[in-house]
Amino acid sequence: MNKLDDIFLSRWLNNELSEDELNEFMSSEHYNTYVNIIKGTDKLQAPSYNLNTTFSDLKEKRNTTTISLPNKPSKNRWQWGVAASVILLIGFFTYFNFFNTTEFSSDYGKQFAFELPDGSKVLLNSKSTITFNKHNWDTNRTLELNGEAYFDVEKGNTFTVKTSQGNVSVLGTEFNVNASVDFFKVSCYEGKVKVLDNSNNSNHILTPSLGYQNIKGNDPITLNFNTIHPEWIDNQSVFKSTPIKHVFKALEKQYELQFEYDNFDDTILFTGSFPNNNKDIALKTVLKSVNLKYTTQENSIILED
Amino acid sequence: MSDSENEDIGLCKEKSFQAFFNTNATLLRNYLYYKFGGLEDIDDIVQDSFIKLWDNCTKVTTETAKSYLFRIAINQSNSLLRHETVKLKHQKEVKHINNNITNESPEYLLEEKEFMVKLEKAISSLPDRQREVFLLNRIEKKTYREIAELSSVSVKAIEKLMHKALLKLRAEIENLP
Repeated sequence: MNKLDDIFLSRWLNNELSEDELNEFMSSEHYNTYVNIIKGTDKLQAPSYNLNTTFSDLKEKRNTTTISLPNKPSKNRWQWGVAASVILLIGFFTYFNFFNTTEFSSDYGKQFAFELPDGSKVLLNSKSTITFNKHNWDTNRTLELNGEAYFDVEKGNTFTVKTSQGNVSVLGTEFNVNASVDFFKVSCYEGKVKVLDNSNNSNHILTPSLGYQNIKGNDPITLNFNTIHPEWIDNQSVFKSTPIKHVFKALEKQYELQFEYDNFDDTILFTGSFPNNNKDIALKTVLKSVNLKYTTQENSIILED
Repeated sequence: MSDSENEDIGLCKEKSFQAFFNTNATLLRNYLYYKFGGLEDIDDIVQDSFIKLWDNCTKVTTETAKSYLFRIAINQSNSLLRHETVKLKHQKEVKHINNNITNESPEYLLEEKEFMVKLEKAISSLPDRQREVFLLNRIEKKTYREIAELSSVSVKAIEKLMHKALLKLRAEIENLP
């Protein structure tokens, strides 16, 4: 075949052109561009890929059922209807895959409600995760929390919330736990709650309207409040004597933001609240009250010196 | 024969599954990346596809595992992925500077840099299938036959896609200012 066909470029790359074909191609005006395209592409590579970490992530993921929450706008009431259908879905997966643990996590600015196998109710605040074993739930009511959640526990044997900062156990009651790496806050709304703080090995018994807060770098304090459930359920985030960077973290979780700052006085304590459904007002409320100027850039909040 | 039978049973075991993962994960990831761009979603899909394969390890043989894996991943990504620009990285500059160390004037280097920008733009603007085939061949050094096997089409189809990809790249580059 002498004429250049509809795959001659593919054949050229494979050195399959006849001498005549090659001569014809080389004398065409586009030949040099093709050569440069190939030379240029041969210098490219895909971003690198770490096989080892990916494999260990994969193994971990295989043993956990992750339910990503539907992207519904957060409402300020519990949404049991939605939760019930998700529970069904988990049952379905579990049945087929024999997963050991069930995990619920909520996205930025979202709340999520679900029921545990015994009927106890959980409401997750934004960007929080709960993991538990549903198979032995009746005999072992223990779950792990990273982030913030409000619990309404059915009467029964001990119900324990494990966090990186300490454990909270109860018999049947309503309470709120907020725990991250260096932040631990528990509030009791009904019944009696026992808090074990790992950082100083202390025990605290909370009765309704009492809270316990321990933030790294500050003395633990007891909180008194008079609300019937956590304010975040009504789309408010409330803080008492909280180091400002933890308030920033709460804003980041609620509005998918990133605070950027070089140096500022991070010993400032914040007492007050911000709304969870209006980013501009939330930012203004917090930053004005501590006298910080800022600029926004997409999802970044840049604090000025 | 008995060798391959042993391997088949072995895919469920962690060690052999990990070996299979190590051989195929980068290719699968890059395959999806060339096609769709957007690393975050792709890494999830790669993981989920391997998990699904592992869960079904008794149902596949070593011969069918790879195409099964790719089929899961492609099905998932077709429905899930939003398309993003493919951003490729330059290999370490050292390599090609060394190759041409004698005649690279600053003008030449600048010209080359401009060309690379155009080339990357042109690659991003290719239709998915063409980009996937073109990059698998040029970057992953896969033969047309190997590429054809990944998506269960004929070698001829791949040759046509490759040809079209080059035509389109050339036209794009010559049209870019």
